[in-house]
Amino acid sequence: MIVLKIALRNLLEHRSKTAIVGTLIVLAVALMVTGNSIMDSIRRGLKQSYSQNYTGDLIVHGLSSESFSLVAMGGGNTEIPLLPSFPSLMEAVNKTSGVSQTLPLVSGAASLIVNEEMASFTLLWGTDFSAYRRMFPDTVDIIEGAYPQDDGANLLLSQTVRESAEKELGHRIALGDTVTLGGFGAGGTRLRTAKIAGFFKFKRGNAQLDRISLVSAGTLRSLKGMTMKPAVPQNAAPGHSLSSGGAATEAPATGSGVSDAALFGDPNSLVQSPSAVSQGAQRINFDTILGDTSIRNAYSEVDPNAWNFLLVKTSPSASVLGVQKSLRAYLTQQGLDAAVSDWSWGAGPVATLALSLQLIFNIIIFIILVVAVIIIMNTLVISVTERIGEIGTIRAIGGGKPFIRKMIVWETLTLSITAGLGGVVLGTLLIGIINGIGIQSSNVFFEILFGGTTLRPIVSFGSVFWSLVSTVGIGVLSSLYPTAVALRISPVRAMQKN
Amino acid sequence: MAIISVENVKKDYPLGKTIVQAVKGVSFDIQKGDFISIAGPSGSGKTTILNLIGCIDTPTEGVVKIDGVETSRLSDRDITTLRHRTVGFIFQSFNLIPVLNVYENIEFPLLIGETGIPKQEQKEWISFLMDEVGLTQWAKHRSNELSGGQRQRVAIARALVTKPKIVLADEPTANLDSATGEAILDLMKKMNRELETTFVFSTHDQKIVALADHVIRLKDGVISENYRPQGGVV
Repeated sequence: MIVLKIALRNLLEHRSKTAIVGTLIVLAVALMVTGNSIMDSIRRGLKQSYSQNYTGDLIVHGLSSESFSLVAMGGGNTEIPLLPSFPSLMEAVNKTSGVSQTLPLVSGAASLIVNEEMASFTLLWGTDFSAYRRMFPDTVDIIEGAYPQDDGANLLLSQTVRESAEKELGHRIALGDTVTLGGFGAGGTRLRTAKIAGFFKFKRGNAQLDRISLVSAGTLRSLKGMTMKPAVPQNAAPGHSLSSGGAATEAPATGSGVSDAALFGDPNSLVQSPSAVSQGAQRINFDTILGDTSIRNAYSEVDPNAWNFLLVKTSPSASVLGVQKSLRAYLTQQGLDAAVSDWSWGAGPVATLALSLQLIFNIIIFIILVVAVIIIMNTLVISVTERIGEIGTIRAIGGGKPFIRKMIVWETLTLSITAGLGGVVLGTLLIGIINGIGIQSSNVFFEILFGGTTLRPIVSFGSVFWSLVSTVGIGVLSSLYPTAVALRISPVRAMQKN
Repeated sequence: MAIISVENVKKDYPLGKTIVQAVKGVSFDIQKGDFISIAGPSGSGKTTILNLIGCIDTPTEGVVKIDGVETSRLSDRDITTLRHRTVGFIFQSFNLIPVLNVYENIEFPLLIGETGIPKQEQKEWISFLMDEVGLTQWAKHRSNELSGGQRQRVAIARALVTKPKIVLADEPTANLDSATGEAILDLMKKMNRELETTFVFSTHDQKIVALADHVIRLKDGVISENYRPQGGVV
């Protein structure tokens, strides 16, 4: 192919120009491959770490106008919506093809009070301990104690929270101690006690995850006021509450949603029935006096079907996206106010941070590429103007405009693709070296991103693919203007006496 | 029928705010197989006439017909095809492609467009032309390794490789010493006789003009003489 032959020989003929432009592309592509491989390694590591240890592959959750996620950052005061129609939803999810395991969770936050003294703060995941252990068998490192065996008010306290509490208190917190959890929310402040069954650390934890303690679901529900009839309606407009069945029921009309009559019976019953007093003065039936207390009971009885999240693990052969699609279809079909998100939603700010960093990095790379395109374009324009006679001659002896166009584009593409491949090789070598040495995290921020103290990146297919696509893009873009200049060269220029 | 027909052609060039009239209305015919010289001093319009005949420039007024086709009616693509198939060019500065060797330079016009010549015939034809111009042993050399005369021989072979009906040569001996120039003219004359290709060359060298069998002499953009040294109709 004569066009390619001319392109290659021209590149070799003008070695210094080729070297300058080629080096620029090699460096830009090497930077792209290295940077994106590191970013991809971070993201892949985060994904693997979070989906295998904390979030599962998918998370079914309710909808809220406020931002929330499974792993909350900060105080954890956001009201997290309940999953609607939980029993039937859970059953449907478990029956979905490709789903291998599920785990419902309640999420919240509490202050840790020891001997009436505020000791620390902890994020809480309320769960069934044995189910949690089945879902994430290799996630937790029990430092002292063991997973609770009974359904009582048990707490597996984070070692990090324990250490901060002990520092605050000035004495040790021991296994078997009973602590008080103080919860805050729209329904007011609640205090619940729990027995410390053990102390643990997440094996692949980070500053964010290390604040999480595990507590029995019932205790956390009680702390959050997730009762059969919540005093403050959840997932519903004011004046309505959602029962576990998801159907909105009319709530009492008083301020907090509970009427005195409903809670304590008819207040006039004592006054209007003096006979009852006189006739049974020695045997007062308080149930009769207080009336029907079933509503009151409903306000204090914990709702066993109140969950915030349903974590889903897919089978290795299943497509996570396919399962997500099926679950979304189910939610839509049932008209449920819930969503199905992946690990990155569950990881919350950490995943967003990783994505944002990659975005910022790629914006910087884009700017470098634009500069590279301008430099290459300028060099090619100079090259074209130096070859006016040659191009004019080709036009004069019968070379059409498509031939000239191909000649310039091939020359640019040959240079950019060859240099791009060189950049990929250099980038791969750099990643190999970085992998061998390892990037040490210098602070908590990087520790969260790296998923540990050292990051050992590997070359990602995506970074190589997109780098090569970029080099082709550089080639095509930077050849546009020089080609236009070349096409304007008239065959008359061949007759120039030089 | 004349292979080239120029009818009342004018060519103006803008030069700053003024218009320069390079050719001021010339008419002539060139017959097939002619070895014709367009002679005249510098600035007389020789190169402009060659450009117009070679379809690499368009007249401001008038008609140029190549092999019976009026060139002003053709699209850019058709003009390119006409140049490729019908016209061969020999330039004063040789204008070889510097990154190609002798063989590739001669072959080049065959590779940039369709000629209808079968591949095997193309190879034989290139070998024949290389032999004719005496460059067979230089086939693998690049143009910067050749002398001026050798380069012009490559240009002659390249101009003939598509078997054109017309070869235009713009002062082909201007950059050569007189002995080499004469040798080049002899070669062109030989090819003209053997292949019956029409050769049109511009020159201001009277010794070279004497070799032509048809002379058109220009002065200040108009024809001052149009004659055949051996006599005959022009």
